[in-house]
Amino acid sequence: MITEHAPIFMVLLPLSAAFITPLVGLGSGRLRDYIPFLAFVGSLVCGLTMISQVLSGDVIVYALGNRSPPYGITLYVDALSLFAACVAAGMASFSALYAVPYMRKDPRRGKFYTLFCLQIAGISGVVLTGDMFNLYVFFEIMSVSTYALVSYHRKWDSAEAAFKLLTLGGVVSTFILFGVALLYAQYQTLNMVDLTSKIVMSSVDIVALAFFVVGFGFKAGIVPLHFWAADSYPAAPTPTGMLLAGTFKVAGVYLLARVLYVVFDAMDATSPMIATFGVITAFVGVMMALVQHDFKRLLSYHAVSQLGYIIAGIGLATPLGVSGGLFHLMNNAVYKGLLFLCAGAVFYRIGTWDLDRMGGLSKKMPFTTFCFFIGALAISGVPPFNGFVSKWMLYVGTYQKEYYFFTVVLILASVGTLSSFLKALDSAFLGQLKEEFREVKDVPFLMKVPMGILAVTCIIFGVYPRLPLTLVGKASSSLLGVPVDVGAYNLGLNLEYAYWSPVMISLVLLFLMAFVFLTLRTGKALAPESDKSDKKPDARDDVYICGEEDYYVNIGGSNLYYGIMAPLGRFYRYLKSEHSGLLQNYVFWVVFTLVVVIVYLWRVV
Amino acid sequence: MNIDYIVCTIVFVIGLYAVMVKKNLIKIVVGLSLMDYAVQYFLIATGYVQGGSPPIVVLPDVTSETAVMVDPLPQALVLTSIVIGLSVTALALSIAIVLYRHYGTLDITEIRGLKE
Repeated sequence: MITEHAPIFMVLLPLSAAFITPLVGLGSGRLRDYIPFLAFVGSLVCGLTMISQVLSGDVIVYALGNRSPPYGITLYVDALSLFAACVAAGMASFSALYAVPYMRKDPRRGKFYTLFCLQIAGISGVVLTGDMFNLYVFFEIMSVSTYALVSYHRKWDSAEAAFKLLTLGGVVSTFILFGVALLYAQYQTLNMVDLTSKIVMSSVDIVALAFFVVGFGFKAGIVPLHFWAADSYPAAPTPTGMLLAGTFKVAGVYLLARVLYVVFDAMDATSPMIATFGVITAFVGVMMALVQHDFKRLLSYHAVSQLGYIIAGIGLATPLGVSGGLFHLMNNAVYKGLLFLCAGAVFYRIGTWDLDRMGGLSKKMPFTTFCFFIGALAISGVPPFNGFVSKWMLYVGTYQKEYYFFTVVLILASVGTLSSFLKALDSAFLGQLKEEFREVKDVPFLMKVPMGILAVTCIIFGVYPRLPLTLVGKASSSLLGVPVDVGAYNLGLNLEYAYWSPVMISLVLLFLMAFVFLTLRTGKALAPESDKSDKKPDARDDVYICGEEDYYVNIGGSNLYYGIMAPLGRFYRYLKSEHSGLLQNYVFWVVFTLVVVIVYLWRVV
Repeated sequence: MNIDYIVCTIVFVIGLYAVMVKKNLIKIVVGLSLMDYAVQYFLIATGYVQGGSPPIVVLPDVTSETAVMVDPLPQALVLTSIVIGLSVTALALSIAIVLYRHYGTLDITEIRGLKE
C-alpha cells in the first residue's frame, strides 16, 4: 500500500509534519525538534522505494483523488523528478539533524521548524507534480516559506534581505502565473504531458516560455537574477542557508530543464543561450566571491558560481553535458551543504562570520577543519572528490560541443574557486590562533554526524561515481528522450576521448600525503638566524604547519589576492556598482533579462 | 484582440512600473498586488464566454437553459491565487514594519545595508 502511494507520501509527510510540530511542541520541545528530521527521512525512504521501478524505465503517474489525467491533478514521477526529490529529501534530513543542536538555544525555534517543513513540502511538490498550476502553488508554498525563513532572525540584515527577495520573488511568481495563464488560454489544459503534445511554439508560447525561463532561472539564481542570493543565504538561519545554497537550486534547475526540454521541447533552439547564461554565472559568481571577507557571503557567491556550471551543462543539450550538469547539481548540494555546515559550526563556537577576525581554529576544531578541507577541495574540482568528476564531465562536454571558449572559462572559474577557498581556509582555520579563541571546542556530536556523512559522501561519489551516475544517466535520458550512457565503469569513467581513473589519482595523492608526512617528521625549521638568540623556544623552531599559537605571519582574508585584484580594478568597480543593494536596480535586471530572452527566442524559433 | 486582455496588460505594466520606480515600501507592495490582480483578471477573462451562465449551478430563472457555461476552472485557479497573493502581501507588510523599526524609514533607496 505504501509503495503504491509513495509519490504522494513524499509531499504529505513534510506537509503534515509542519502542522504536527507545533502540536507536539505544546507538550515537549525536545521531542518536537526531531519530528522534521523523521518526516524528511520518511519522505526519502518513500522516494527510495520507487527507485528500482523508475530505473527500469517506468514512469509512475499518480492521479490525485483518482481523477484520471489530463483532467485531474497528477504526480508525475520519472527518473528526473525522482532524482530531484531524493536529493532534496536527503539533504533536508541532514539539515534537520544539524538544526536540532544548532537551534536549541533559540526559544522561538518552533516557528522555524514549521516553516522548514513547509519549505520541504513545497520543493517535493514542485519536483513531483505533473500539472502546471499545481506547480505554481507548490512553488509559492516553497517561496513564501523561504521569505519567512530568511526574515526569521528579525535583524536589520535578515529583514532587508527578505524584503528584497520577496519583491523580486513576487514579480517573478506573477511572471510564472502569467505563463501558466497564457498556456491555459491557448490549449485549455494544464497537464504537462498533454501540453507537450499540443504546444506549437506560437508567439504567445514564446512569451510564456520567456516568463518561465526568467522565473525558474531566478529561483536557481542565474547571473543577472542572482542578486538576492548573496543577501538571503547569509541572512537565513544556517540550516536553511545550507539548503538554499545547494538544494533549492535543484528546484530551479529541475523546473528550467523540465519546461525547456520536456514541456516546450525547445532545447536545440535555446541551448546556446542557456549555456551562455551558465558560463557568465560561473565567472561572475567566482569573481565576486574572491573579494568577500564574510564567511557566509563568500560561500553564497560560490553557490552562484557553481550554479553556472550546472546551467552550462544543462544548456549543452548533449547526453554528456546534461548528465554532468545533473551530477554537478547533486554534488553541489552535497559539498555546498557541507561547507555551510562547517561555517555554521565555526559561528556556533566563536560567534562571528568575519574571516578577518578568525584564525588558527584548526588545532581547536580539527573535525570541522577536516570537513571544510574536504568540502573546499570538492568544490574546487580537485580529484578524487565528487566535484572533480562532474566538473570534468562538463569540461569534456563543452569541448565536445566545440564551445572551446566555455571550457576555458569554466576551468578558470575553478581556479578562482580554489584560490578563494585557500583564502577561507587560511583565514579561518590556518595561521595564528587568536587569543580570544583559546577556549574554543569542537562542535557537539549531533552536528558532527551530518558533517561527517556529507564529507564521506564527497569522497564516495568521487572515487566510485558509478553509484550516483546510474540514476543521473536515467534522469538525463528521460530529459533528452534518448538512452544515455555516460560510460561509467566500476573503476573509472570512460568518455569517448578522455579517460579518468580515480584509483590512479588516489595512489598519486597517497604518495603526496606520504611526502608531506615525511617532511613533517624529518624537516627542519626555517627560523631566521637572529631569532635563535632567544632563549625561549617558539613556534618558529618547529616545522610550521598550521594553527600555531604564535607566529608572525597572518594575512587578513580580504587582501590575500590583492596583487590579482588590483589590475582588475575597473572591472570590479563595475561589478560592485551593479551589486549596489538598490532594489530598483535588481528589478530592472529581471525585466531586462525577460526582454533579452523574448528577443532571443523570437529570433531563433 | 479582446478589451479584457488589453486592460490586464496595462494593469500588469502599471504594477511593474510601481515596483521598478517607486521608492516607498508600501507602494512597492501595492505594485506587487496590482501585478497579481492583473494576472488573475487575465485568467478569469480566458474562461469567460459572452453571455454565458455561471458554471456548475443551474439557475433556470436567471439564464436560459441553452446558454453556454463559462469555464469554471480559471475561477478555481484564481481563488487559489488570491489566497497566495494575500499571504504574500501580509508577509511583505509585516517585513516592512520590521524594516521601519530598524532603519526608521520606508524609502527603499536608503535601505541598502547589504551590498557588493
